[in-house]
Amino acid sequence: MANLYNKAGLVNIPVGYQEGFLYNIKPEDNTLAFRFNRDSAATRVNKEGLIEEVLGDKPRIDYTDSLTSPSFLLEPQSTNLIPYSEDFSQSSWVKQSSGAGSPPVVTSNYSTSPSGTLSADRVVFNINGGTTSSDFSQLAESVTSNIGDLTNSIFIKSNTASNYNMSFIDPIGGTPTSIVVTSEWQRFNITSTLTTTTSTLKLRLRGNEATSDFADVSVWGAQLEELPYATSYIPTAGSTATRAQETCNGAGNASTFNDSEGVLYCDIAALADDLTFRGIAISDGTSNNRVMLRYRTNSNQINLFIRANGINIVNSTKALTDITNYSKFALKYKSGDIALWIDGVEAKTNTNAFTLIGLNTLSFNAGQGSDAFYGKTKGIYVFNEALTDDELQQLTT
Amino acid sequence: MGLTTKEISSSSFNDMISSVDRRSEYVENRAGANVRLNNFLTPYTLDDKSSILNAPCGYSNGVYASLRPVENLGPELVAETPSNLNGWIDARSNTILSVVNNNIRATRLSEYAATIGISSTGFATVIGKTYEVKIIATKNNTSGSIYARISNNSQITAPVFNEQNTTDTISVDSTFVATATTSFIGVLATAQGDGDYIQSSLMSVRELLQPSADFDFTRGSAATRVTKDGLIKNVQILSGELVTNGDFEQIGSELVTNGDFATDSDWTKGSSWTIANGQASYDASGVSPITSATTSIVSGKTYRLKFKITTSGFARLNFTNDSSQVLFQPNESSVNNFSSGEHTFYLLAQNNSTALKIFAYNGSGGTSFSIDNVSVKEVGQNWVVTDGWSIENGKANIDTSEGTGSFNQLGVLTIGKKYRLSLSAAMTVGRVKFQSDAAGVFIFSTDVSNHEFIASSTDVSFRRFDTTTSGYIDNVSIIEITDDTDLPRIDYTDGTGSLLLEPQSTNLVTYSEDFSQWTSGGGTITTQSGFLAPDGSNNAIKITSSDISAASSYFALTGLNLTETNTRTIYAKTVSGTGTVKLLSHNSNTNNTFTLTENYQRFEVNTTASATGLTFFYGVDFRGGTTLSEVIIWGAQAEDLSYATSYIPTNGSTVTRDADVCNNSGSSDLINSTEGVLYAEIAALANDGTSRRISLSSGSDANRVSLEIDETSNRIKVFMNGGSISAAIITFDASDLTQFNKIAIKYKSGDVSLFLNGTEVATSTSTNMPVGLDRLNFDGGNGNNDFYGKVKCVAVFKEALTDEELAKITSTTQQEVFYEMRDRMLQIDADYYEFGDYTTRLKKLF
Repeated sequence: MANLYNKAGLVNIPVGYQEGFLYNIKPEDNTLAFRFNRDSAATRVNKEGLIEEVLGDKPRIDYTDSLTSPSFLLEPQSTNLIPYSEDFSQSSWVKQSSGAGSPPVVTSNYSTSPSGTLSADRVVFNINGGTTSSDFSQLAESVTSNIGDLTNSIFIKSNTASNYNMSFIDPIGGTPTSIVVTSEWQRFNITSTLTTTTSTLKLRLRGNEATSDFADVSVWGAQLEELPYATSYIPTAGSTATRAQETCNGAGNASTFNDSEGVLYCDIAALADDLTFRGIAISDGTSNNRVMLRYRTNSNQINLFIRANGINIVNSTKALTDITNYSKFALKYKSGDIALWIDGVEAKTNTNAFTLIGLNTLSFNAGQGSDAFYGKTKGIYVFNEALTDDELQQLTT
Repeated sequence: MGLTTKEISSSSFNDMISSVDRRSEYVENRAGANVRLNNFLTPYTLDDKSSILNAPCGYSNGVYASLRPVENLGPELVAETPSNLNGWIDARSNTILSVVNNNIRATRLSEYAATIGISSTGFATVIGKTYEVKIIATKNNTSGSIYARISNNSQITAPVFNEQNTTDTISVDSTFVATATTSFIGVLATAQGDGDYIQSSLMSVRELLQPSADFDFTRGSAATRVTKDGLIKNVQILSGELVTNGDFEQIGSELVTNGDFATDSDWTKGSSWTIANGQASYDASGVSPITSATTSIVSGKTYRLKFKITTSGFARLNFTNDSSQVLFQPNESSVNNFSSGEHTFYLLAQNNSTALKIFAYNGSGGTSFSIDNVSVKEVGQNWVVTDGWSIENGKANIDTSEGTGSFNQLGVLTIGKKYRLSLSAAMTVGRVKFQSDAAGVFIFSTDVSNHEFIASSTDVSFRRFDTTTSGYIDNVSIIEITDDTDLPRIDYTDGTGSLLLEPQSTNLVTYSEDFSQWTSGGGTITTQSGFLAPDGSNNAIKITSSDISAASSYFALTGLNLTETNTRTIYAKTVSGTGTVKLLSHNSNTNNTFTLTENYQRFEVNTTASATGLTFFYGVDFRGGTTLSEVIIWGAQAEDLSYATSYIPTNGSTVTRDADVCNNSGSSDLINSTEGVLYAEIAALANDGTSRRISLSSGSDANRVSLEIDETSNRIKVFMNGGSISAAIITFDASDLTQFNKIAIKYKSGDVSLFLNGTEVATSTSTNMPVGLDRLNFDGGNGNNDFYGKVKCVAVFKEALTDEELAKITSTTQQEVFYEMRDRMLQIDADYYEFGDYTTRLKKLF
């Protein structure tokens, strides 16, 4: 295969960043980097596998999925409604019991948490042989929230050599989910749709839920957020905390991109199949001229979209198995020769003619400022010529 | 040829860079040069094939250094070895020579002179030839200097080569040109006492057999560049700020624990003391201390002491160390009466201490009181403060009624080097002298701007000049400079280092930074100076309009002699946010509306309508429907070129930067007239309709292989001819020659080809071969058609490489990209992580 780097106008693999900037490998001009904004701190999993805080306006290279193959993480705004996410000794965390069950016993700062600090609390649950629904030992917190999708999440591990079967309850407070707590830290999460304004996070043993009779576990990082999926951990210590939304836009200039032909390549995964528009686009800064890939409001679909001089040229979708899995997309655009390659396969073609005008910016949105991309990115490249099928296949394989 | 992947060994690069180090006064961009080498050499076993290899890293006044060839060295010429006494000479006949731990040592005898030394026996040298010299030596007495020398006599006087250190050690790896047929190598130490010694573990001289392929470089004027930290600087400025804490604003961490008495802890209370309600109270029942352990307080250093007193009478206090010795003397007295209120003093510690012990007294006016907010923090870090000087409120104060000592920062300067001193000063009486100037004391009483001096001491030192002197100095700044005008420029405008070669140009804007000389249109404009500028100074100015549509709403320099075809530039940014404004010319023009952001950009217009007048340079013209009402500007320039060149500062008149000329690399040994390759990674400054060439030649254009960026935009031409001038044999139109391109010309009789960025784009079967090629020039080989542009690499091969090799060396390689990204991120101090999958992802693009 020919040297594709020579053909690229922009190459971004997320290795270099600074407050406010995500730098490109190509072009080398740092002033053509992505502009990054987040008006709050946030957390990420670092290369040691530990959860750490990242200051505001600093992009996050996140190692959640792999300690050797991280991704650039972009998330929407979210608020952790649990006021004490790491301190389970607080009275807001209700230690409940019934029947044969004993109230959970909390020991503060008992073990090393996923942040690498001695900040995880020990909680010992015991239902003392109880077998009925009346026999439970439960740690619970209820908060006020809005109607809609909410997600509970929490980090748990066993303090002993034994695994424990426990119940983790959805935000409605109804359906228990069985979880197996091992000696390794795991983050459990569960989503439900609220119709009232009170939501809850519960962890328990209960006689009729096939849980263990006893559990000696460490817990840390409880989170309840008004999203249909769990986002990165938002620490709290006495009140709710909000991680602001992230934006990453404005890479390149008119010299970086070719109006006549090219390829937009993205190695990306969605955070969730949450039925929202999430776009990545080369554009002229408006909705009139743009070459875009986006997740859609339809479940598990990728959308190739080209609009030239104010006219929609192609707006075509392709179903995927699971958009939360990484896929390599390459959108070839050339008048009369449009194609979408996905993971080594030409998935869509189109022969419509077009004349794009003034492509000058690459953004993690739909090109006009809205429909921001929230997801994970391993690489994003723009080539200034329509690559051959062999090249597109090899690139996306 | 079967290509193999071969990492360039660090030793190869180190050999080259060490060689450049020896030949160059200044070396920078090492990482960038290594990037070029990795791109150029790594994947292919070509590193033995290039005869000339250049990437910007080393230079001196008049010389632009090449990495290859690395000089070959002849045999060792010094017969003696430091581990053996045989042959060594007592240079001044006043020592006993011995060998100690493989060092040849000279120990002074008491009755003789204080300068002692060791010399080799004479060795044969050839006048005019260049030799490498290496010396390592130490002396045991801290007094005096130590010298490493090459001389024509065994007393080591009248040195041909001389380096001096005021420390106790010296290490030399350099070159000298012989001036006699017999030379001596030796070391000396001055001001040595009886029994003191100097010793050396290495004295070596070897002939440099292989000449370098350095370019001759001339310009004859100052010039600016973008430094690796992104600042616009005159290339004659050789250092960043050398004075530490020159604004005296540095303040240390709190040394007192629980100084606000929030809890009844950390303090050891005498019988008359209690701690309650957030304060410590003294009941005046007797002399009694209250003590807090502190981080170490050092005698002679300056501290800020703060505390708050509440009393109806006086708090009579003595601040001592843990041994009850005086620690601080407010008001020059160890015991003082303090009334209610906040008290702040800047004081020299009189003794060392690890505690603050406050004695309270009930006599001599002392009453009961409470004390709170006790604080001790170090100030004046890095300065040595003696009597008569004090550091207070961010200034260094002098008051000769308090003493006549000096005020120093140690180890800042190198004796003999040139520096530029600036500071703020205001004396109410008398004057201060700066006593590090080899020309004599420099006396001042007000602000000092750009006083140039040769250092006579390693220390920055001030002292009173008049018997009675009182006032302050502030913002002390010293940078190293040079008067040299033939310094090549390694420019980092695009984030990576490249040699910048520009034509002559004149800035017609007579006050490019002094905006007090500029005028506004009237009352709608206000200005505020002191904003951070692209050169790191605070010389940028904010221009604000109260009514952007008012006729007076502009800011301009008038009385100029501009033309319609001038290229005008200015640096500008917003105060906050993004917006549009007209810059550089009158608002009636249509090509001067720009979008400004919070980051500096250099804005440019290339033509100006004559109707707007040619005596005005409009820095900002708010009129015309743009959005901004305030902008920050700096660095105005207008030049008679079709494109903007590097910034040329002016201050009262036009200033001309002369043309860069870079020629005469190589020799007939390094360039093959029969076949070879000329390689260049270059970018044009502009498509300006001129011919710009890089050539192998015999000194004229009759015999040459030339690469030309043609008068026609983005056109490359190849010239090859022998004995008489002929037309181009290859013409090719590239996409954009103002971007960096990798270009290789293979020349061989009947087999000429042009490779561009990995692809053979044109060929020729010309057999008109040159003869006598002996130089590589950034011109047409005849002194004309100078190459103006940016150069990341040039190289010469003495054989015609294969097509496969040519394709590879003109392609961007994975290694180049990898190292360039790392280098770029390190330069801007960005967060940068090379994770395991990074190279895998990158590899797919190659």
